[in-house]
Amino acid sequence: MKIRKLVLKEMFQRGNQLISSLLAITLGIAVIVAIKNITIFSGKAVARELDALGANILILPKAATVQDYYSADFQDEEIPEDYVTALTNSDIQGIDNLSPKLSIPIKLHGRKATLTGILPKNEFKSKALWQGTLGIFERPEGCGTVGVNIPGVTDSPQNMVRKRVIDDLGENDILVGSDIAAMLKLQEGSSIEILGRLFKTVAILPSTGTVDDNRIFAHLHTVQKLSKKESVLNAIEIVGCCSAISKGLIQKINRLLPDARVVTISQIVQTQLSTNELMNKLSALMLIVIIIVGGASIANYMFANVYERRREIGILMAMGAQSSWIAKVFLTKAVFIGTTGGIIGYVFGTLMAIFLGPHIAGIPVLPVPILALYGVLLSMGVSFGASILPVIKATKIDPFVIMQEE
Amino acid sequence: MLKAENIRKTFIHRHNNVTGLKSVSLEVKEGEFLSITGPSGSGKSTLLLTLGGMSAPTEGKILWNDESVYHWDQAKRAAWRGKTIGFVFQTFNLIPYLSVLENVRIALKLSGNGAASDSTEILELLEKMKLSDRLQHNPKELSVGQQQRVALAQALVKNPQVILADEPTGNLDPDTAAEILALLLALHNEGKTIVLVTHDPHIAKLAQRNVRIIEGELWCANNADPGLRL
Repeated sequence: MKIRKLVLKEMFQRGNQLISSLLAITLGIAVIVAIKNITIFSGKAVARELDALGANILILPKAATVQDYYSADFQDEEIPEDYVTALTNSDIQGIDNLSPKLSIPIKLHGRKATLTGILPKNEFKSKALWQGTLGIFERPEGCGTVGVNIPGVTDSPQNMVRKRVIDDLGENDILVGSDIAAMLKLQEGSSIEILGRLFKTVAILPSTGTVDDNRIFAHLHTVQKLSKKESVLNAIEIVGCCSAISKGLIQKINRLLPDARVVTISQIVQTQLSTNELMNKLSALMLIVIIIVGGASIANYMFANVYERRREIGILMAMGAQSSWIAKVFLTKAVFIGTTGGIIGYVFGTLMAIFLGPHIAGIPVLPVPILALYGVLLSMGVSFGASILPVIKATKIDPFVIMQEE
Repeated sequence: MLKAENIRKTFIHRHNNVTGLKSVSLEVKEGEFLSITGPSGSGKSTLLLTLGGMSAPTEGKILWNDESVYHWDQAKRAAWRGKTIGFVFQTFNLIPYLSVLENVRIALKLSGNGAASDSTEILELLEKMKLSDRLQHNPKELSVGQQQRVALAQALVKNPQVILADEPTGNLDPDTAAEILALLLALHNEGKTIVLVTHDPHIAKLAQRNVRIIEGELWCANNADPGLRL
């Protein structure tokens, strides 16, 4: 007879006790899974909003300043386009979005504007050299929006525009900032001549309240040709994962591109970091609560179980059971309770998150399968840890004393 | 074979310090059927559990083939107990949530004397114990006589050298008690060493030798009267 069978038979014989002990750990895991699930999606929602603030890392020519970047006044300071290749071919992780830019000042109908060349995402995919290196855009779990597709949210045109992740942009297509569009009375589909070339307006960007409202975005290579600045840029905007920034992303880029100036936009980074920190603290607090409440509940159940079964333990010892075998019986039970509680807790917690998430946090929530693993491991850990003292007590039972109780 | 040398055993029972055995010496020979009699609380069960390696004496030694059982570590003593000693208790002490078959199987597994899946051997034994039609029944579904037969099967399945039986008929009606005693006698005839604790002098007479224990002291009593102090 295997220990597993013995444990299962005992547990099902004392069904009520089993249900009460499972209930405690299941509810605990369900609550933490629900909170964690909502927190993950809430964190991603916050990250999406923060992403709208724009890049948090800039790669600029050595002599340029952040002021030059915002005013698009680079005075011929340039960096090679090869820096993009260097970044995409590196093993640096934590870059959510990478946007090479070449900005040149232009005049349209007597009004100053900025023509900014950008590289649409399909350019990354089309370059053989960059094939397979798009992993650089994989953000670590819990850090931003990449890898999480919520229909109607992440793929909305407004979000794509805000993040400046443009999938496709033709050679003669332009995206026009709201202010300059209003000034020039441009609409979607209308054409305009810039530096001697006729462009078609494919979209008017929503107002952002930034210098972007006065910019016209065209394909990078078109702008390079028009400005006769082949294969150069004057900025690479990076939306870096804030946790990666705190783990030395800037230093890694600095080492990779020693001739460029790498700067962080500290206010954005700080906001991202403090938001993530708040989320992490909330999860940690819940983790402590579940460990204390769930652990105490299981420990109480296991102590009661050992006391109730002290005679059985004596019988097994009389049959030749060693202390280690007795310990295995109770620890197997702890693992079973932990595993079952973890699985059921994950299912209930996920359902709670899916149904309550939209009401509590105002965001759609989807299941996060990895939480099943974390839930089971946590539940098993709590159950196992809480059972150690009762198990020691079980192995120390003196069968003589128990038999004297007859 | 199994020897107690100057055993003294004190223990705490309900907050009182109790002396269960006072300098008891006893030798159980191979193949012997020994009965231990005495009034309630005289120390019969304490002596049996101490002989079986279940409880260390406060003083003295339990020797198995001249090796001190309580000088072994816990694991070795448990293994020895599993292989060598078969306990039978008055209250049967079956695992309540296991079937008859499983109760016997677990005893065999813990003894290390055979494979737990050695079903043929187990089924033969249970047939001998007239329990073939009760294999899947739990203890509470059995009569007291059947429960004691299961307890005896638990003790026998591992083919122990010594059977230590503590009032095995104490909870049984006379007919069932006679059945169990007949089984013990048959086992003795097959060469098993049996130590039987009982307060019933008639049952004690079935044994080859009887010792009487009174207030923790052992007396030679080959007849019903207290005789020479051992």
